[in-house]
Amino acid sequence: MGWVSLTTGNPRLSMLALIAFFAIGAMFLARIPSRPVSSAP
Amino acid sequence: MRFRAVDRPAFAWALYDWANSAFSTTVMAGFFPVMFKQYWSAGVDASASSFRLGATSSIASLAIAVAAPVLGALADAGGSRKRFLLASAWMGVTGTAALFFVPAGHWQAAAGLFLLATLGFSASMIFYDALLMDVSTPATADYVSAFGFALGYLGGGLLFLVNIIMYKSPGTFGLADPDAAARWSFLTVAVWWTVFSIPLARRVRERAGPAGRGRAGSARRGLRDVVDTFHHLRRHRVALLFLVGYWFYIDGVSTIVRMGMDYGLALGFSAGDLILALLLIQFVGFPASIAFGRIGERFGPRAGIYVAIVVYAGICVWGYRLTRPGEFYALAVAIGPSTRGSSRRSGRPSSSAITIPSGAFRPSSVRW
Repeated sequence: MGWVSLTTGNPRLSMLALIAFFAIGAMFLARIPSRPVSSAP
Repeated sequence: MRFRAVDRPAFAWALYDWANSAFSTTVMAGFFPVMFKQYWSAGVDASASSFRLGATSSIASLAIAVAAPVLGALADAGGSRKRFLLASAWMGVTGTAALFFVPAGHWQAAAGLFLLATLGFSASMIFYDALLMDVSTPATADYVSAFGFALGYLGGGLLFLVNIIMYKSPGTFGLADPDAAARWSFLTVAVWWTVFSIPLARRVRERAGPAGRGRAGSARRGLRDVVDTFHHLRRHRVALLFLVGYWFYIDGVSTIVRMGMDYGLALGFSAGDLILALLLIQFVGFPASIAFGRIGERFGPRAGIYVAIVVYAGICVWGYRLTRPGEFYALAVAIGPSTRGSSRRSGRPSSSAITIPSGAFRPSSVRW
């Protein structure tokens, strides 16, 4: 947030940038099977 | 969940949550961001001080991400969880107390001490979580854990309330101004954290480490466990997906907690309004924690995280458009359930809900 705020000069954009973290987190979690089983041999 | 008594070691363990939650509310989320911007970075451009605070928080997060697996493995292997916990807590207490002495304008010293305190706080939580199995049985672990969360809300909220009264009416306490009240609040947190850690130090008895190994041997075994864990992790796609996904999610949550106050100040809201909103989050969070626990039980732990992610994405959009102090209070009501409710209640059960072959992977040695 601090970096976005500094580089754009607009602190509001730093709040929007956080959505990327939640989107990426959701993307990884969505790839977990509903009834997970290990891929280990 | 019905109330039932916990035994003395479990109560002493849970009391540590009461002790250190004062740091996360009063210092991390509350007065440190305010003082960092308005006192230690006085006269500096708002964006520049936000960057300094963000950089400090990022360094702390990265340091913990790197150190946590090693610390977790050491704790698991060595039978020295309590010793490590108390050492970490002492580091946190020292850093917090020392903030009282940092004069205006010395943002580097404040950032360094905050870093020290945050590392101590985070490390102590690793050992605190690991000690749960020493004060409970598999049948009582969930209840004892929830009891700790509840004491954390109460303890953190109670001291924060006292600190806010000090900040709003410094004259009542013989203090010169709100800045002096905020600095004294750091000292009160240090004392609170120390005093309420004593029961854990005296009452909790952890299980002994493997016989005949010694502390150095246990340390070597712990480090070997870290290497083994990551070696096996590559073969366990599900665990890896969960850890990476959860890290992104929880880092977003942590960023809002640590930077929310700074963001509000940058938008021009008063520190007093923001602090009151933070208190609102604390009290909304308690019932929300129970609600998120129910969602996890009814629909599975992943559902709880998904609900929180959707709420947080909405909060980010809402925060972007924020214009009035009244909206900030409404936003606090929305943040309360998702922050306090989701980050701890749904996180720990989720990690254990993933099916991982016994002996191939040591979940407690990977903590982000």
